[in-house]
Amino acid sequence: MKTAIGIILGLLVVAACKQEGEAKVMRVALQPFPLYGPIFIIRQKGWLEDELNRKSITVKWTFFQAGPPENESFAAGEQDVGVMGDSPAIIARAAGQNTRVVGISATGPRMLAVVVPRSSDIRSPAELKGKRVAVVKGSYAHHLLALVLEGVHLGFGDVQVINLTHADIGTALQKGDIDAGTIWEPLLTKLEMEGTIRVLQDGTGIKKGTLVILATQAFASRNPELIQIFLRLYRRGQQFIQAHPEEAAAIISRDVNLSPNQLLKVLAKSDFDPALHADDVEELKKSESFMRSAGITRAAVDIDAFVDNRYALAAGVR
Amino acid sequence: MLSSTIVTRWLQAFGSSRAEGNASKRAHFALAAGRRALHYASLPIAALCLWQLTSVLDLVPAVAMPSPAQVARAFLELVRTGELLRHVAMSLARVLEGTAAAAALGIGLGIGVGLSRRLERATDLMLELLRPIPPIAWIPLAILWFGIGELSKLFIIFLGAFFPIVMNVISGIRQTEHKFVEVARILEVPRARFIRHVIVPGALPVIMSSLRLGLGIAWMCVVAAELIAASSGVGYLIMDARQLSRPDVVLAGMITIGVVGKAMDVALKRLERRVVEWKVIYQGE
Amino acid sequence: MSSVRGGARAGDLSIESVHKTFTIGRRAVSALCDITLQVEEGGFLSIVGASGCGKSTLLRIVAGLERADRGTVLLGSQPIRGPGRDRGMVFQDHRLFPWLTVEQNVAFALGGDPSRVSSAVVQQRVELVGLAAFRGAYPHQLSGGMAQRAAIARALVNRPRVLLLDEPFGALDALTRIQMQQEILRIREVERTTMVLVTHDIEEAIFLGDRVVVMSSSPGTIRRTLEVDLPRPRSRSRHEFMRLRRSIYAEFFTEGDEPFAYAI
Repeated sequence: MKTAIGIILGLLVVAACKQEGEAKVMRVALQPFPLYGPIFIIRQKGWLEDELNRKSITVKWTFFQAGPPENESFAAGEQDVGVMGDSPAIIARAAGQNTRVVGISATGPRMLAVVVPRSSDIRSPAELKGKRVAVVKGSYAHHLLALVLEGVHLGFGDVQVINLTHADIGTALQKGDIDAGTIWEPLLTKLEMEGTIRVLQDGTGIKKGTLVILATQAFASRNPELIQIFLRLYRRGQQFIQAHPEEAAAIISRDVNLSPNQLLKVLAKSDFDPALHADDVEELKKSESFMRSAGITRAAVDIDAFVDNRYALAAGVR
Repeated sequence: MLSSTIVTRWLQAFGSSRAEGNASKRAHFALAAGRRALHYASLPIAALCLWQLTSVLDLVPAVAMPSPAQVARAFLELVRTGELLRHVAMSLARVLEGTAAAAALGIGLGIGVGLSRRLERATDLMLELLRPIPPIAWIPLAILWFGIGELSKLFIIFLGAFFPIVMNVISGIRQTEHKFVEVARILEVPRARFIRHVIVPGALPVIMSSLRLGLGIAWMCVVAAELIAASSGVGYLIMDARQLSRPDVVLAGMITIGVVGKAMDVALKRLERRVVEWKVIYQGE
Repeated sequence: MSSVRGGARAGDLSIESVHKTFTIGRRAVSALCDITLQVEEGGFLSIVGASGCGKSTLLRIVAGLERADRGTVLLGSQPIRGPGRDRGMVFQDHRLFPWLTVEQNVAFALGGDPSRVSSAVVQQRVELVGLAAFRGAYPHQLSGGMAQRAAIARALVNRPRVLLLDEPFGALDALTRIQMQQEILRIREVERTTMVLVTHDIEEAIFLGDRVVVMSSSPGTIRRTLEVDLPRPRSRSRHEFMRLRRSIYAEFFTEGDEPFAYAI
C-alpha cells in the first residue's frame, strides 16, 4: 500500500516539474526528397547555425523516410520545426497534434503523378477501371489519384487500390506486379529517365501538390523570432536555387538520392516560395475535405485555424 | 491484500447464507478459484491503472499515448463494424496456412536430419546461417520472388515458423533416450520399426511443443508479413493506423494480437496434453 | 576350470577369463578382472556386491550391450556377439515405452504390430505376471512394482534362453521387493528359464539363487562362490539361511567396533 502511494506521489511530482522555458536547441525534421530543395541549401551552407549560434542555440537535423514516422517523432515531442506533405500534416492535426502551418515548403503539380509501366497499353486514366493501382495511403499523392479518377468519372471502388510503400511501388512497377502507381519525386524522374514508366497524368490543373512548413505551437509561440528566421532563410534558399541552379543541384544531390542532372529537371518543376497565399490555403482545404470523405481522417480540421500566417508576415515573407 | 480480503469475505458471506455441507464446499471451491483468478489478473489490472493515471495526469501527450478509454473506444468501434473480426480471420488464415507448410517441411526435414548423420552434415551449415535472419529482413526478397500477393506473405510466415520447428524436432529425435535404444537392441528391433515405434513416439512431446512454438512465432510475424501490400489483417490494421496517426487503433490492434496469440497457445496446449497424455510433465508449484 | 563345450546345453552360460577396463578421464579403471563362471540351464545365479564392483558390467556383457576386452562368453556353444532376443533383460528402471500400454509393450517385443495385443502369447505373458487387470494401462498409471512386472513379461515374451536381471527391484520399497522376489520364483517355476540376477541385497541373493557369487570392486573379481542348497520355498528366518547371510555379510563388514567399515 505504501509503495503504491509513493509511486503516485512520484508521478505527481514529475508532472509538476515538466520543464518549460527558452529553447537551447532547435530541432528540425526533414525528408531526403528534392521536394524540399531550399532546406538542403540551408543545411549544407550552415545558414541556420550561423544565425542561431549568435543566440547560443544549436540546431539538430533529423531525416525521416516519410510523413508518418516524422509525425510520430513530433508526437513524441522530439521536433520543433519540420517539412512534410500537406496530407500527413493534416492527418496529424486531426489526430490532435498541436502544430501550425507557418509556411509553404514547395508546390509543384508536376512533382507527383499517376504512372504506368512503359510497356503498358493504358493510354488514359479511363482505362484504369478494374486495374490494380498502387498508392501510399494517406500521402498527398492519394488525393491526386482520387482527382485523376474523378476526372474520368471513376471512384476508388472502380479500381483495385493497393496500399504499398513508396519504394515498393517503384519495384512493383518495374516488375509489372501492378498496372499503375501514384508516385512523386525523386522516384518519378528516376523511373522516367530509366525508361521504366510513362506518366499517365500529373497534378497539372488539378492539384498544386502543396508541401508545408510546420512548427509546434509550443515552440512557435515561445520563439516567434526563430520561426521568422527560418522562413527568411527558406526564401534565401529559394532565391539561391533560382540564381544558381547547377550549384544548387550539386549541393542538394548530396542529401538526396539523385544525380545533379536528374535534380536539375526536378528543380525546374517546383516553386519553393514559402509565402502563404490564399490559393495555398484553398488547396489545404481541398486536401482536408478529401481525406475526411475518404475516411482517412475522422475529425475535421479547421484549416484557417491550422494555418498561422503571422510569422511569415512578420518576417516579410509574402 | 486488501482486494483479495474483500473478495474472500464476500465469497464467505455468500457461502454461509446457504445450507451448510455441500454449499460450504462449493463456496470453498469458488473461493479458491476466485483467488486464483485474482492472481492472474493482478498484474494486468495494476498496469491498466498506472496507464490510466499517466493519461489523466497528462504526463504523456494524448497524441503520443492515448488513454485506456480511447483505446477501448477504438476497440469497440472496430468490433461494432465487424472490421476486427474480418482482420483477425484474415491474419489467422495466413498464419495457419504458413505454419502448416512450415510444420510439414520442418517435421519431415527434422526427422530426416535427426536420424541421418549424413543429412545433418549436409544441411547443418545452411540451417545455422539462415536461422538468425529475422523474417522481416526477407521482405524485399519475398516481394522480388513472389510479388505482392498472398504468396510472399505466406513465405514470411513460413520462415518464422520453420526454424523453431525444424531445430526442435532435430533435437527431439536426437534425444531419444539411450535406455530405449538398449531395449530395442535387445529385442532386435529392425531400424524401420525402431524409427516408427520408438523414436517418433518418443519425440512426439517435443514435436508438439515445437509446433506450439512455431505457431506462436508465426503469429508474431504476421505484422511483418502484412507489411507487404496487405489490405486486411491485424498487421495491416496496425500499420494503416500508424500512417493515419491513430495510436489508439494501433494499441487496440496490438492488444488483439496478444489476446488471439494467447488463445491459440492455450488451445494448442490442450491438444498437446491430449496427444501425449502419457508424458508426465512438471507443472510447477 | 573350463567347461565341456561339446556337451553344452542351449541354456548353459559360460563366462571365461573375462576382462573389462573403462577409461574414466585419464585413468584406466579395471571393472572386471579375470571373471570365470558357469550357469547351467535352468539354474539361478545371484551376483552380489557393492556398487561399482562391475557386476552390472558383467551382466551387460552377457546381454551383449558391452564387449569384453578379453575372454569369452558362450551361450550354449555360441559366442555372444551382441544383444539379442535369446537373452532377455530386466533393468532397474522398467524402461517400458511410455506411449504404449502394458499389453502393447509386450506385443511390441514380439515384433510386428504393437497393436496385435490379442495374440495368445501376449495375453498369457500378461497374465503370468499378474497384470491381467491392468493390461490396458499406460506405464505412468502403474506403480513401481506393477511396471517391473510388465517389464518382466516383456522380457519373457520371446522365450529367451537366459533372463538377465540388473538390480530389478532396487527402486521398489521393501514390501514390494519381497513380493516381487516371490513373483520371480513363481515365474521361474512355470517358465524354467535360466536366470542371472545382479543385486546388492544379500538376502535377495540368497533367497533367489541356487548359487551366490560374491564380487569385490577395484578391480572387479570374484571373491567367493557359495552354493545355496536350501529347499524351496525358502524361509528367511531359518537357521541355515541366516548362517549363509552372516557368511556373506562377513565378506564386506568386520564385526566389532565399526560394523560398517569395509574389510578390504
